[in-house]
This record gives sequence, C-alpha cells and structure tokens, in this order.
Amino acid sequence: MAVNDLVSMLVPGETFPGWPDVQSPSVIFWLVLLVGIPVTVLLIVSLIGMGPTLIRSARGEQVAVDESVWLGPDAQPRAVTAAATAGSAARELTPGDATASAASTGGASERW
Amino acid sequence: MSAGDSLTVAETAAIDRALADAARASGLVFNAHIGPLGADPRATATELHAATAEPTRTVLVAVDLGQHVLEIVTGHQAGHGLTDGDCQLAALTMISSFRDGEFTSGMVAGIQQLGELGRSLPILHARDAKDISA
Repeated sequence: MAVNDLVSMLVPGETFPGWPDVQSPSVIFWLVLLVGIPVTVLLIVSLIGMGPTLIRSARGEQVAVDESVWLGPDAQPRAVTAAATAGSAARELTPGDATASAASTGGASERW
Repeated sequence: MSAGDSLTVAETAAIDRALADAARASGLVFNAHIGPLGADPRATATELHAATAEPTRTVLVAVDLGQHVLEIVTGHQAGHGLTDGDCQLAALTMISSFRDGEFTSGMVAGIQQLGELGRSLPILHARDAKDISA
C-alpha cells in the first residue's frame, strides 16, 4: 500500500507481503476527495433545503414584510397605514378617528 | 423572521385563521398589522387601531419586525374582557417565539391566547334558579 507522508503520520501502514503495490494518489485526487465532494454534497443539501422557498418565491406567493400587511376583518386602506407609519401630522384616519386616544385604549408593549 | 423576509401565503392564512378563531372565542374583533410603526410605535399602533371599523371592540396586534416592537392595542369595550395583564401575558408568549425566529407560530399562539383570555365566561351562580331547576 502506497502511503504518503500525511497518512503515514496517522496510520502507519505497510503493504502485506505478496500484495500489489498501489500508486500514490495525486494532489488533485486528494483535493477532490477532501474538498470537492464535501462541497458538492453541501450544495445539494442546501438546494434541497431552499427549494420550497425558491419555488414559492418564483411563483410570487410571498408577501414582503417590509410593506405593511393587514390581516383580519378590517381591510385597512393603504393610505392610512402609510400616513400613520410616516409620522405625518395630516393623517387620514377613517372610522372611529374621533374616539382615538391613548386614554381610551389598553394593551401591552414589548420589544425583543 | 426579520425585516426584509417574506410571509408565505400559508403563513398569512394561519395568522388569519387564528384571528378569526380568537374573534369567535371572545366575541371581539381581532386585527393584525405587520409592518413599520415609525418613531413612536405605540402612538402609531393606537392610531391604526382607531382607524378600524369598531375601535372600541377591536384588538390590534401590531408588529414592527425592523424595530423588533410588538404592540397590542385594545379598545375600551375590548379592555373589559381583555385586561392589560392578559395582553402582557400574550405579548410575552409572542416575543419568546419571535426571539427564536418563530414568527408565525408566535403570532398564532399569542392571538389564540388573547382570544381565550378575552372570552367572558358565563357566571353560573348568577343564573335564575328557575333556569337551573328546569
């Protein structure tokens, strides 16, 4: 068995009597074995993991959360959200605007 | 999930379903707003809440993923069944999931919790004696 310097430090080996000598592998072989194959496997696993997301993205089934998203029975006009989040003084609030005040509301605030 | 990420249709549907379930359980109106809340998140959330159709009965869960802010706003009438302490409890449930990157499940769990806590249970001992014996 042909043993290079690196392997011989880890596994001291010798060819059994009568066994054919094996040629020492090239540097390219070691690179492919130790780098090329793991990287290829990693890429394949990553693609499998990201596949569903990429497919959904290609189909346009995602909603970017940079934009305001309203969920629930009240279909909120975009203008209201945009004005409110921009901090504009001239906000165009619709129903219930007159009753809007911090004193009449409760709830909770949290940060993470 | 953070700002710049996306919600899938399935995720928005799950949150929508949780809002509907919470509304059914509590008799209140539940809305969720996911997006920027500006420099004063509480004030913005309160104004968004006021712009809903029935602000007094409405519970608004507003999340700003960019600033990592969660605001729960309850109207005057909704506040009778759903106290600030209840909202705080649900908010803690939600942010503990958000910290783990579980946005949708956190939203669903928190909204369900709000729906359960907002449910006004019937007071059996206050019922008419005739109703009980019948």
